[in-house]
Amino acid sequence: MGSVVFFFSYFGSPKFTDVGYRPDQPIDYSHKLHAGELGMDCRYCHTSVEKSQEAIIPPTQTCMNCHKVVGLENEKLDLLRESWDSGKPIEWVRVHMLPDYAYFNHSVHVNANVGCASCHGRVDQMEKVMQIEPLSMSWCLDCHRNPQKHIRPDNIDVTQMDWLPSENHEEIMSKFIDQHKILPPEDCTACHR
Amino acid sequence: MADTATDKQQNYIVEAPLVEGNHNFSTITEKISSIVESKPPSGWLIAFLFSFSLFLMLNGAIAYLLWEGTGIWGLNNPVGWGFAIVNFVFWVGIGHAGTLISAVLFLFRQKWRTAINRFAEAMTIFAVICALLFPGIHVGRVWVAYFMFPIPNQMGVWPNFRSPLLWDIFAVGTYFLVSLLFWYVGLIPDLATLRDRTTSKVKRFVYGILSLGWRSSNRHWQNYELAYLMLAGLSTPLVLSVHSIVSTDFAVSLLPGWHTTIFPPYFVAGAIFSGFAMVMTLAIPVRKIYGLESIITIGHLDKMAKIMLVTGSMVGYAYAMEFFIAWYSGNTFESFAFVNRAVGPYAWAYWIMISCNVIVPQLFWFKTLRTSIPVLFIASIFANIGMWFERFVIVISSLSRDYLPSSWDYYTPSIWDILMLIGSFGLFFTLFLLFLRFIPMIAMSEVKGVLPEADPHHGDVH
Amino acid sequence: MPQIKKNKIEKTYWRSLQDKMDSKELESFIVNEFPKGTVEVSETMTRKKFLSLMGASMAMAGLVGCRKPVQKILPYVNAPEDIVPGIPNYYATTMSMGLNSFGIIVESHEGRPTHIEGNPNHASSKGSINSYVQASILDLYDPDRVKTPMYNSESSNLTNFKNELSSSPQDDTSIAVLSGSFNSPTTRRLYDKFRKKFPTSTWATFDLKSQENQISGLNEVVKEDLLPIYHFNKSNVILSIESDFLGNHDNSIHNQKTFSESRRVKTKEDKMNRLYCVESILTNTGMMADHRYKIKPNQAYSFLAELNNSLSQKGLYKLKKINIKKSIFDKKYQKFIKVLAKDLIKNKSKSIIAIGDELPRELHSLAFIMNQELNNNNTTITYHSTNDFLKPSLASTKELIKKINSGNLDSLYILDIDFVHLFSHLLTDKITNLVTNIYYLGSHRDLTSKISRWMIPKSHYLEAWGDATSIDGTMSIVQPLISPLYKSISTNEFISLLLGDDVSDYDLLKETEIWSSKSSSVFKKTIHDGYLKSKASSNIVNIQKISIKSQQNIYSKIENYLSNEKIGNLIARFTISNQVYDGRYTNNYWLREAPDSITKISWENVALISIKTAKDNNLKNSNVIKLKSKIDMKEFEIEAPVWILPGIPNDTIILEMGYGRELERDVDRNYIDEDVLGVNVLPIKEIGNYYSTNITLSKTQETHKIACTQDHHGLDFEKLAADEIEGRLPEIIRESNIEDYRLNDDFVLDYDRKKHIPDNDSDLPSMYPSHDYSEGPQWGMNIDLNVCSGCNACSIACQSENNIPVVGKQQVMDGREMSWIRMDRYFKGDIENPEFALQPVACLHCENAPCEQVCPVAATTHDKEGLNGMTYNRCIGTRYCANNCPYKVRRFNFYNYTYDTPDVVQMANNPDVSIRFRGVMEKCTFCVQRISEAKITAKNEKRDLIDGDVKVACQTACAMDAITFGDIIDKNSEVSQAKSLSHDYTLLKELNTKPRTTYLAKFRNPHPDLVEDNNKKGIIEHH
Repeated sequence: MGSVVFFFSYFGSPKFTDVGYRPDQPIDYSHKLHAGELGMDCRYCHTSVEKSQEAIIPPTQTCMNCHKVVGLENEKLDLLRESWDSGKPIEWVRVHMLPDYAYFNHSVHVNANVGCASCHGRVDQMEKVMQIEPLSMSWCLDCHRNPQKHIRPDNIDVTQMDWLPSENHEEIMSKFIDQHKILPPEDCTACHR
Repeated sequence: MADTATDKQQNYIVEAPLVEGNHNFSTITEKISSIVESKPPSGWLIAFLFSFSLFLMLNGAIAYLLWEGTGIWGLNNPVGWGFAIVNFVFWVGIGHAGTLISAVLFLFRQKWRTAINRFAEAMTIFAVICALLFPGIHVGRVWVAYFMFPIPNQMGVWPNFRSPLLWDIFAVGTYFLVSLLFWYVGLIPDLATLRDRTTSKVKRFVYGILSLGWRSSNRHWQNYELAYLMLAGLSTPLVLSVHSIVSTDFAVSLLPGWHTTIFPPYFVAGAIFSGFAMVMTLAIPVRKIYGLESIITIGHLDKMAKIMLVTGSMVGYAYAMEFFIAWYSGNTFESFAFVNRAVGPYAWAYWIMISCNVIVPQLFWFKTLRTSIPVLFIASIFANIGMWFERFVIVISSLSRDYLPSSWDYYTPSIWDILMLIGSFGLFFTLFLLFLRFIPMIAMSEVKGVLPEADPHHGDVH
Repeated sequence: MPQIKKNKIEKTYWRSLQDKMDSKELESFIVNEFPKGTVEVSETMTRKKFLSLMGASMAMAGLVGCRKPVQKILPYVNAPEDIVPGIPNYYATTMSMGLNSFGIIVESHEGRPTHIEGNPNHASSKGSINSYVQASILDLYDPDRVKTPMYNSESSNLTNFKNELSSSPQDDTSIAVLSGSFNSPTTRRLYDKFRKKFPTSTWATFDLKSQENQISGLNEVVKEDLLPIYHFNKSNVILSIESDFLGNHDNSIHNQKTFSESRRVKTKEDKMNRLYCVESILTNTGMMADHRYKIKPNQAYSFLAELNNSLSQKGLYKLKKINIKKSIFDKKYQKFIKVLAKDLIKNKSKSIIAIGDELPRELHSLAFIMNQELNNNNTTITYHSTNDFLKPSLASTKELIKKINSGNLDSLYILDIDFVHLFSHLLTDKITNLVTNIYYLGSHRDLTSKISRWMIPKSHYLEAWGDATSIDGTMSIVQPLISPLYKSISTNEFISLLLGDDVSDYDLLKETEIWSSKSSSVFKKTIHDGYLKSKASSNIVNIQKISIKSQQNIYSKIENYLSNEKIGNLIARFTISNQVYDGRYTNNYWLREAPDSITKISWENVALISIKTAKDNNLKNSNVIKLKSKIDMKEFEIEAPVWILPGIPNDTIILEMGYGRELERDVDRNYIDEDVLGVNVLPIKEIGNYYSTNITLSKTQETHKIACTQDHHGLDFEKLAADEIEGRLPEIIRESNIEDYRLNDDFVLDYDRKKHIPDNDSDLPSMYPSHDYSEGPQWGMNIDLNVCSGCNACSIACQSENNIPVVGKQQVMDGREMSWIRMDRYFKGDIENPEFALQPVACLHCENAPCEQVCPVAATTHDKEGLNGMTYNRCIGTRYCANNCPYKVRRFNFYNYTYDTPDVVQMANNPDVSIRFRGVMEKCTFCVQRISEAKITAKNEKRDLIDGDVKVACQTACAMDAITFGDIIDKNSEVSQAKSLSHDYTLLKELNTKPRTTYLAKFRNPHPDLVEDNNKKGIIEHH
């Protein structure tokens, strides 16, 4: 009996099923190259992350801004150019998936100085993006209950990937949280409508 | 203690023998084991096929329910609970007599229980199985019903321990397990007897496994008695707890007609009433068909009738009290709820309930009626019907007319409601008939214990 | 039996289109949704087309939201500058209805219009809407719309149609056009052009709900085509004669806004208008009235005449007496008329006499004269020129019918009117034998499309460019929110095709003088605002006093009617439906299912009769009766189920028009029975009359089940129930005469005190420790029963905002209606002349919520802000919460009502709200999605929430402003203000549920001299 319960509650959990999900993308776009080596800011492509619930996948247009001039002979980019000419969108594969009844909003987290890396990991080191956190409800709640770990001081950019908290980070932040009234909700209504 | 002792003294003197005819150990064994060993009477097969087909129908109905949704029932906006819950409460109620007979009467040293406790317990277990079926299927999304169990999960959410429905799960669950154990422990010596008597290898193997290597050595008997006593002690409080908890499903809510403190005792009384009625309904044909009149004597039936008289009257008192309190409280909603039961659209159900549960048992004031088989049989059937309608009245009449008249509505059961009610009886009798066929329906070892032969001074000359 | 595949379970919860849509057929449909070439029309146009194209195609290819199968994201190829995925855009546009048009703001998600709200600055909507406007968004996504042009019912294409038009010889006299009235300058321009081109052709304009009598009645005296606008906010005494100005009225929103202004009571000092209502049917206006007197339909003449006389007696000496042989009214009415006259005169220039559109023209003239003598004209009533409108004309319609019957008509062009449904009974032969070619611009394959040579799909107003004028003259722009979903064209485009030129509706608009004259910046601004900002646009006409002597003919008309009218013993009174209007909303399931706020009947129409009439003909609810009538020597008959309703005149049968339109449907829904159409009552109605007197009634043996949401199984005939309700209602609906209130301003507590219930909730004992609600915001709502007219706008708005499924007639009959807002309707007083009380009840968000405590899985829980949250995906469906809810506001998904919602209808869904699956409980959430959005925006802008940041759907919809919502900690918030009033009360307070929604008591303002006529018995409910 107990073992059955354990079996499901462990092997059924996103921690087991979801972490490490790393699908192939139609164009093997390298975040390592763009975000890492070239040091592009996340928001160059994921433009709406600060104003909208969605941190959109960029339109073909955004890629073409550069790839009109660079990587012209790179046949990896054929699909991109094809999309640009045909006007047919590229079918990217979603990596980080929340159930549709959970309403997550990027903007409010980013504006509360939660770093991208906190949920998405060191994307700048990933050739191919993969999910590194379970994104389960209890995982969300852990951070909502004590956010100081993941909230960054104002002077640190949320998109900075290699940032490491100072050792007295947490008590500084708990003060910061109080004065800025960052109260992560723990109510059902916060995410479920 | 002392006077109970003296009582016993007198009992020994006045009480009629619990087993009639000149039975001795071997005849008892012979009589009861033969039922299991020999071919069943032709009636058994017919009865079994009939109830089994009803059981299959139940499965069909459930399959359709899961496919379509609870909409197939007659439920509507105000009336959120219908037959499913009515049946649940009804069957849990039936399940009461068994444990009462085997545990409580055992502790009170009521020796007459021995003849009926075995299948009373069996009945309990089967009834509880029927009961457990309904909460399972009545929820809208069965596939997530496990949310009800306190299991660690990725959501980090516990069930709501304030909800009576949760208490139900624990209460009925425990009750089921304990009764099962109790029953099984009681079975061990008899299973051993069957093991020793049988000639077929298969049976010997099966009974052998089940009887846990019982050799009826003195030590075995000592441990056995102790275990039995402990389980009896353990299950006695459960008899009271289960239906009290079930009653809180209603008592805890704020619905007029549900929201009342009298429910726990009143539900328990009702449960015992219906439980004994069901034992009676089963015992009478069984003792006839299997010729057990000498073991399940008129005396037994008489005693059960007395208990029904008592509990039936208690229930009647409860009905009266509900009315009185509703009026006395001066709460218009409450008083309307009860007036509405008596003369409103569900008056028919209410009066069936009253006549079956309060009036019919009053027959048992008369010894002649208490000892007339047909009267007992018919009365017991009425009692069953009455108790089912009691739950119907409580659940549905209260829901259909509560606080805001704008949302009042009338509940009519759909065909599926009725099929499932009938089907649950199919399930019950299927199990019961199988029990009759393969397990000694009377506790041989215990009956032997009440034979004169068992008296250490048997045969002494003074 | 519904097919529920396991993987569907996940599908039913979805958030946004790209997550949801996964159907190939829809993909293909979207591809031909945007035919090549249509994209390049104009710069603004391109953006819209483009945006809807991209938005939609994004929608198409997404896969469903669970781990497996893999989910795709399709970004834009070329992102439109003004759209951020996940953030809705709002566009202003205009919806025309009859001769009026309402300015609206439409919410659009990735190019997909989802919700409509009123345009706060637009004169005729003032930020609110009515149920029709609200529900019109569903028409856009109606899966049964015609999708391609049809040639003899075979699908064809537009070019063929154009070719045929250009080729077919155009002989003026044999051409006729049938249209409804319209107020669009561009359409008007095209109309004039048409008349010029085909001078001898016929153009008939027909409205089933016509204001012709009103206009011509005024014209009779003023010699100008005018429509009145009532300013109730300036009036103390209002008399409505057969006028449902708060309900089914062209200008209902303006009326409700201004009426509630002078109706609302906050303090003892506040004045409150007095509404007299004299009517032969029961209307929302009648339910609001302080004095409602029922008359038979034909008695309007006598009533106005007698009122006229006693007015002239009581002081308006100029008024000419009308000689009446013998009054038909009894003592009670006589007295009423005298008191009324006194009251009107007492409030000279602060009163209004409003009379119903249907009433004959001379009565409109008479009413105008009375208003003039009461100095109401130009003060409480302004008159507005209708010269730019194409007005309804019965004469032209009759002429058209004659022409058709004569058989010398070869092309008939029908603009969105179901000709067969309306007129077939007037024809001498099958229409196809009478008219050679019928060209039909319509939206559904109805009876007319069957007989049409060409059926051309009509664009929804959210798909087309156009313009509109409101009665008050406000010029508005109609701009498309999405490019046509199907191969449809707008009315203007159609007319221009008739004119032989083929111009897009956008260019047609630009060519119209008022727009072409504007600079592009002004035009852009107009598009942005939705209407033209300029004083000039007002068409108000200053009325000169007219001399009564010159009006002899009016009086003689009335007198001679009175002298020789003869009435059969039965009268049938025809009225416009509250659900399908004139039939145009036949396929709008939101409106069809919303129970009529008076009868509480959904999906169908019935023959309403009074209790006495029922007794006389021994009829019971839902008996089917046969009604016969003779119209010029021809026998017509209909069969309809009867329904008994208190407060309607005896020997009168009220029949709702607009039902019984047979449509061919493409999709068949499991829980919605398409055959439920109601009865077409038009055959027994003489065209142009609103009642007919030569009616014979006979009872048939059949009965017809009616889906009624309040009086299940004839509770009313059960004494026990009726008495109990009588006892309960003083607690449920608290009300007082305004005078008594001034003496005793905490009358709402009287009941509680009688019952020894403490005055404030906090003194009620509780076993559970209460949550800590000290921190703001704490959400609360207040509903002012004094100004609620039960118009259903709120419940439709709620349905649109919260994706509430439609469940169909059968489920409603089984008592499983889904609407989150239940509009409770109670009758008070004696059965013959009851008073009325209305009470909208949605989840009250109790602080001690009984539902939360019994849910075994904590699916319904309280949050820090006092919301009683419902977590659908946690709910297992024990229904215990619903059982334990004393207000019975929880709704259960007994079946999977949404599993067969057509993909196109799903586009109407709000992506911010989960779709609920079978077996899940749901209820009002105080629009938690709006609260979250507001909070997040505030957080992102690093500011605190301010009052008004969150407006819930029902609140914005309500034109009476009966609903206030906000933070109850903030003492200055609108809602706290309302809750602090002395007549604010808690529903079922004694249960100590501490609801966050409280009610303001209802007031009545009877005339002191008439009080004793008002029945003083307690409220009782008759169904």
